[in-house]
Amino acid sequence: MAAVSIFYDLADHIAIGLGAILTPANLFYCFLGVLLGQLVGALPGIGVLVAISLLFPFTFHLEPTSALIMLAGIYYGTAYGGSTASILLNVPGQASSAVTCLDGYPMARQGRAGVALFMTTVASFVGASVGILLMMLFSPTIAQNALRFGPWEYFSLMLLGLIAASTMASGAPAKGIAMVILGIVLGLVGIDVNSGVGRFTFDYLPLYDGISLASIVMGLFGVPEVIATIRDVKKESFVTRSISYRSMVPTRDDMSRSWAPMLRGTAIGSFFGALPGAGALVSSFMAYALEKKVARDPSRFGKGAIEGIIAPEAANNAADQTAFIPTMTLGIPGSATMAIVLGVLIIHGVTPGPKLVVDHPDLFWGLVMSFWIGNVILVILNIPLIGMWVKVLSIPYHYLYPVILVFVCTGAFFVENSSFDVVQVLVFAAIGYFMRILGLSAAPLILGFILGPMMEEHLRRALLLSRGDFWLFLERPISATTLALSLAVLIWAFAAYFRSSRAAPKMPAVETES
Amino acid sequence: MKKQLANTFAAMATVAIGALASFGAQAQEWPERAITVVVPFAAGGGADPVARTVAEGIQEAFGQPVVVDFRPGANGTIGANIVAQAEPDGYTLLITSPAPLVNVKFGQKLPYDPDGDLVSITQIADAPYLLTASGKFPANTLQELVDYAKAHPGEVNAGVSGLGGLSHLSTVILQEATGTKLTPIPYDGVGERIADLMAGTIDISTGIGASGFQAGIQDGSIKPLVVMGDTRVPELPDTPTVIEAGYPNAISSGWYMLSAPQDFPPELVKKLNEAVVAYLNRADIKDKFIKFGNMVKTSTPEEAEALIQRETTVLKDLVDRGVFTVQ
Repeated sequence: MAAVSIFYDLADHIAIGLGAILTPANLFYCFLGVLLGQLVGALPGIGVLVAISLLFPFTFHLEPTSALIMLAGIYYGTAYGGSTASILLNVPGQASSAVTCLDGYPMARQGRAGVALFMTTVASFVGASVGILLMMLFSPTIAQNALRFGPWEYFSLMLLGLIAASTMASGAPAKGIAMVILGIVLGLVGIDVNSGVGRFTFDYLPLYDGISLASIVMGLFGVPEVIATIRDVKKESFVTRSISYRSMVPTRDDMSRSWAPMLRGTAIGSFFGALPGAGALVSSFMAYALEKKVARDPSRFGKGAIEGIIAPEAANNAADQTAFIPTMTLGIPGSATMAIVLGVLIIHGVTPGPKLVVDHPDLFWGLVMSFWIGNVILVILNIPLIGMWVKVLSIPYHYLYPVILVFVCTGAFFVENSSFDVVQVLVFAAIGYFMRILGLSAAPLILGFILGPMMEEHLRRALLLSRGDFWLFLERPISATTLALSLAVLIWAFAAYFRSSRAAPKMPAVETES
Repeated sequence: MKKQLANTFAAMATVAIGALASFGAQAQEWPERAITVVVPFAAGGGADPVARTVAEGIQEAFGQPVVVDFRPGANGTIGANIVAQAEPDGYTLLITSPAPLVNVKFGQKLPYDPDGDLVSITQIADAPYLLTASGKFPANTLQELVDYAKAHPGEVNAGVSGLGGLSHLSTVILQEATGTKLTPIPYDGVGERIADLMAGTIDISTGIGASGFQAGIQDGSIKPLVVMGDTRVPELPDTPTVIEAGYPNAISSGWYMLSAPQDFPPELVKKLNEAVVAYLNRADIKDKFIKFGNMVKTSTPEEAEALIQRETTVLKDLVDRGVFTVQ
C-alpha cells in the first residue's frame, strides 16, 4: 500500500517536473548546459568549477529553475566528457577521470578506443540514472543518514580507501606505497587548518593554499605522455588510425564483463556522492580499486581491462547526481561547485533545505527531470561523436600535442587566474616524466594527495572532539565496521601475497608498464 | 660601462616620461579606459555578487567598462597584494572582506602592510556574524549558552573555519565578551561544519549571515542564538542582537570594503566614494544586497579607515594577550 502511494506520488512529481522543464527556454538551457559540460569535460585542463564560476553571473538574469538546470547540466556533462581525453590521449579531461587513463588509454592503443568510449557512455548513463532515481525516491532518508558521518566515520572510510587503493599501482607494491606517501607529503603543503601554520610554504604566498589539484593531475598524467610520444613519434603508431561504427560495438565478452563493475561502480559513486565530505573524485579511485580487488585476474588491469574504465565512470557520474541530495535537501554543499549551485539558489531567494521540495516543487522536480533529459541528450550527443573523437587520433602528433599543451596550461591558469599554477604543471610534468621512466605509477600519488590531508583533518578533528580519546573510533558503529573492513582487506592482501609467492616462488614479477 | 650608463639614463627617462604621461592622463579626464576591480576570492563565492554589483555601479557612473578580476589564494592576501603593488592611477581597485585588511598573521610574512599599503574608499556592506547552536544543544539563547559554558568550561565545541581565521576570531570575541571558555574545532570547508552542527557533533558555530545555516534553521536542526551586530538581520527577524542580549562587546562582522593602492589621488577617492555611495543606497540595490545575505552600509573614506583601525586594534590586543592564538 505504502509502495503504491510512493509511486502515485512519484507520478505526480514527474508530472510537476516535466511541466517545469518542458518549456522551450528550459530545454534550451538544459541542452546548452550539457553541451558546454561535455565540451569543458573533454578539453584537458579546463574544469567544471571554472566553467560554472564563469557562467555564474549570467544566471543572475535567468529564472532560478533555468539557471539551475544550466549549471547542473554543465556539472554532470563534464563527467561524460571527462573520460574522452583520458581514453584517447592519456590526458585526463577532469581530475575525476584520471583513473580512466589507466585502462582506457591501453584500450585505445589496442585499437579499441571506440569500444571504450561507447562503454563509458553507457556506464555513465547507468550510473547517473541510478543516482537520479535515488534522489527522486530517497532524498530525505539519504540526507539524514549522511549526517551520521562525523569525523570518526570519515577518517575510517578514508583509511579503508587508502588501504584498498594501495594495490592500484601495477608493479611492485613498495613502489605503490612510496607513491602514496609522496602524495600525502605533497598534500600537506599549505596552511594547516588545525593550527593556522604554513607547512612547506617557504613564506611564498601562492603556496599557502597548497598545490593545485588540477596542476598535479595534468602535470603527472597528461604532459609526460606528450613528452614520451614526441620521443617515440617515429617508431610507434596506433593500431587503428581510422574507426568504423562496427569497431565501436563491444564484443559479447565486453558486455558480460561490464555489467557487474557498472553496478558496483554505481553503488560506490552513489554512496560517496551523498556524503558532503567525499565526492566524485574519491569514488572513481575507490571504484577502480574495488574492481582490481574482486577481479579474478588483477594483472589484466593497467593493460586495457574494460572493468577499469566502466566502474570509475559509473561511479563519478552517480556521485555527481547524488551530490545534489545534501545540497538540495540539507543546504550543505559537498564541493566548491555545489557551493556555487547553492549560491545561485540563495541569490534567487530560494532557500535550499527540507522545505525546498514543498515550497518550490516545480524547481526541485524540474531540476530532477532535467537530469534525465540532460543525460539522454548526452547519450545522443556522445554516440555519434565517438567517431569524430576517435578521428582526433589521426591528427599528426606534431599538430595535436602542442594544442593539448596549450589547453593544459590555460586550464591550469584559469582555476585561480594564477600563472604560478602553470609553473606547477611544468614542475609536475618533469617529475611525472621521471616517474614514468622509473616505472612509478601516478594514480596512487594522486590518491595520497587527495586522501592524506582529508584523513589528517578528520583524525585531528575527531581527537579534538573526543579530547584525545581513540576509543570513540571503535564505539561508533559505522566507524568500527569500516575499521574492521579495513583490517579484513589488509589481511586479505597479505594472504594473497603469501599464497602467490608460495605458489610461484621462481617466477619474477614481470613489469609491463608501457 | 658607457653603454650601461646610457641604458640607465634611457631607462630613467622612460620612467620619467611614463610618470608624466600618467600624471597628464589623470589631470585630464579619469577614467579613459577600462577599470579593473580585483576580488581576492574565488569567482562564485560570497564576494562575487557584491563585487559585480559595485562594478556595475562604477561603470554606470563613469561610463567605462569595469572588469572584475578574481585572484583567490592565501585567504585574500594574494589579490590584496596585487592591488597594494599596483599603480595608484585609478585603474586598479580592490573589493574584499576583512580577511586581507585586518590581518595579523601568526609568524607569517605578508608582502604588503595592510595598514599603509591600501587606501579605503568606502565600506560597501555589513554582514554580521550569526551565532548558531545545534538543535541538540540544550541552550536556546545566548544567556543559556553562557550559563552552560560557565558550568562546563572548555566543553562546548565551537566549529570554526580554520584556526586564525575570522570565524575563529568571532568565536574568541564571543568568549572574551561573555567570559566563557569554548573549544574551537577547525573545519576546512563550510559544508562539513554545517553537517556536524546539524548532527550535534559540534555544539555551536558562527558564520557570516544566515545563508549557510538557513536550511537547518528551517527544520530546527540548527538554532539561531544571536546576531553579532547592532541591527537584526532581515532573514531572522526574531533573533536578537548581542546588544539586546546584554553583551555589546560581542560584535563581530564580516564587511566588504572598496580599497585602492596607497598614494591614491584624493580627488579620485572622493569621486569614487560619492559615486559608489550614491549607487549602493538606491532602493533596488539595497534589496539586491539582502538577497546576497548582507546589508548595504556605506561610509566616508575616514570612517572606513577607522573601522579597519578599530578592528586591527582589537585583533592585535587579543593576539598580544595570548587570547587569540593558533597553538
